[in-house]
Amino acid sequence: MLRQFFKLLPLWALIVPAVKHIFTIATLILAFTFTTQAQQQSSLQFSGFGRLIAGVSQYDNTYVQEYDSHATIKNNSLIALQADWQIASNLALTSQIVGYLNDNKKSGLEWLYLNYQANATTRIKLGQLRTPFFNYSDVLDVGYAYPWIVPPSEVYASYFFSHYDGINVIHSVDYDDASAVLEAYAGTFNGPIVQDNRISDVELDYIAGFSVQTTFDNLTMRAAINIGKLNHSQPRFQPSFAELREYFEPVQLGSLIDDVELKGSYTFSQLGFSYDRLDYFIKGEWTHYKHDLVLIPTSTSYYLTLGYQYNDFLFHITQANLKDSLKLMTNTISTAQQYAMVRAIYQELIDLRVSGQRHSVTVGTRWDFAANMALKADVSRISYRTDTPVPATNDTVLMVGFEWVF
Amino acid sequence: MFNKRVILLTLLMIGWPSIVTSNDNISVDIIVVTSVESPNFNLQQIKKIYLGMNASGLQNKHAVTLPHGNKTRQLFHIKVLGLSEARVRSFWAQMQFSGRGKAPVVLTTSKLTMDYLINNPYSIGYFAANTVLPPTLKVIYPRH
Repeated sequence: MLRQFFKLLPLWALIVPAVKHIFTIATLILAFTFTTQAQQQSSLQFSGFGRLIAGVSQYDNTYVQEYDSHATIKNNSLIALQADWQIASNLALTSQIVGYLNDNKKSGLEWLYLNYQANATTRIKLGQLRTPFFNYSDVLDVGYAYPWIVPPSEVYASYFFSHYDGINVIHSVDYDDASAVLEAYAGTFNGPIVQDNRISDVELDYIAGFSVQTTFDNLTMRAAINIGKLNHSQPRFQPSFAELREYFEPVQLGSLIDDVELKGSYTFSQLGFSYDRLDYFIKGEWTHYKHDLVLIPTSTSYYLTLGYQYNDFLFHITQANLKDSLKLMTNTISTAQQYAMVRAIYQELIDLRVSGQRHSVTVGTRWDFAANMALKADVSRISYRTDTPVPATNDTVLMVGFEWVF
Repeated sequence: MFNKRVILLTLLMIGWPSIVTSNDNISVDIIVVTSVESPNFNLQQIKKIYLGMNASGLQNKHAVTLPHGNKTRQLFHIKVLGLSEARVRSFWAQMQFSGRGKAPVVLTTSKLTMDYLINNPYSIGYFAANTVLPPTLKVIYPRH
């Protein structure tokens, strides 16, 4: 009997995650079934995208990327459905639901906004929107839209808030040979964020930004600045700041927790460019992340990608770099016996902080083998040198993927 | 900071005299067509319309295109847009799923394209260069 039970265990391990996503999957399948009919009968249009990504790395637990030596399809595979309802000639409602296989990512509504075309050149979006931090941040789930399997982590790992609730205004300007798009947004965010497969609960007082994108013939350039104020952030993988306060306040050291609590302002700057020709392209982004927090580092990162297109095959190479730096944090708590506990806790907080330099080279290929479908394969060599006691790490990651839009 | 070899490679690629990629001064066996009421859009404006750049003065200019796999479509992408078929589709996926625009209307044949252009003034389409046009349509690319 027991033997039978244990034989069934691997089967249950597969079924339970599937059941957890069954609602999302069922909704998507139902909606997709009616896609063709809906498109013919009304102004309601459905479209969608999916990706099946498998990845494996050379080593386990290197913490420099999300895979380990056991191949998995869970981390980046997803399916999504977008519905566009044209309410009036200048007003539309768009919603996008995404179902992730990754348990750390919340499946469900990713976008829900009203799109109002105020005049020929100005568009206003209102609702739950994607945060436009980077060149590809608003299509991060749409792997079909970019060359790599995963955009360079050195830059895109700092993409904390994938969506926000607020307003976004886009204004287009046209010249003879050039055009420009000005974009401004403002709103709030309250919810969990995932970074390196670790979850934190975050509440922002506000989030806002402005970007300019200019296109001149084959060259597109983008500059953006994003600001925000973090009201509260609690990593789920460490004791809460409220719990820490219970140790520090009785010895009159509560102010130390005030100083390390994850709250304050941040500025996120971005520069990007893309130069596209028929058979090759060059693209890159540079970012700088600055804030008042002491537990997490400020960072500067960039990537540069060269791509060569041969018929339906794309070959690309990317170099990416991330440099972190931490604010000074020293343990000045007295060595007296009564402070031993808080001193040890405080030292642990200091030791939890990690900063360093991460560098990667990715070589990849993409084959657009059919209309709206592509196969991809990427290999990345990552090296991470730390300024803190965490040992230096090198790792190699292999990913293969199938991308689909419909 | 930036690796010197990468910068050098980038500069080399930007300066690369791209004989294959240039869409200028090549023999054209495709025509871009609109109604006689439309302005004479230049190549840049045609590109903007087909790449969904929401430029002022180009509103309500419906671009129509042929389906994936069509030879005339491939020629149009290469010679007029200067982009491969795969990159155009990838670009439109980005536009569509970021809510920035909708891809051109796909019509399955050149005959349907012709009918659409006749019935929808200011719309833009393309044909093989030897196509005979009715008097209500005019060629805007190439320019003679």
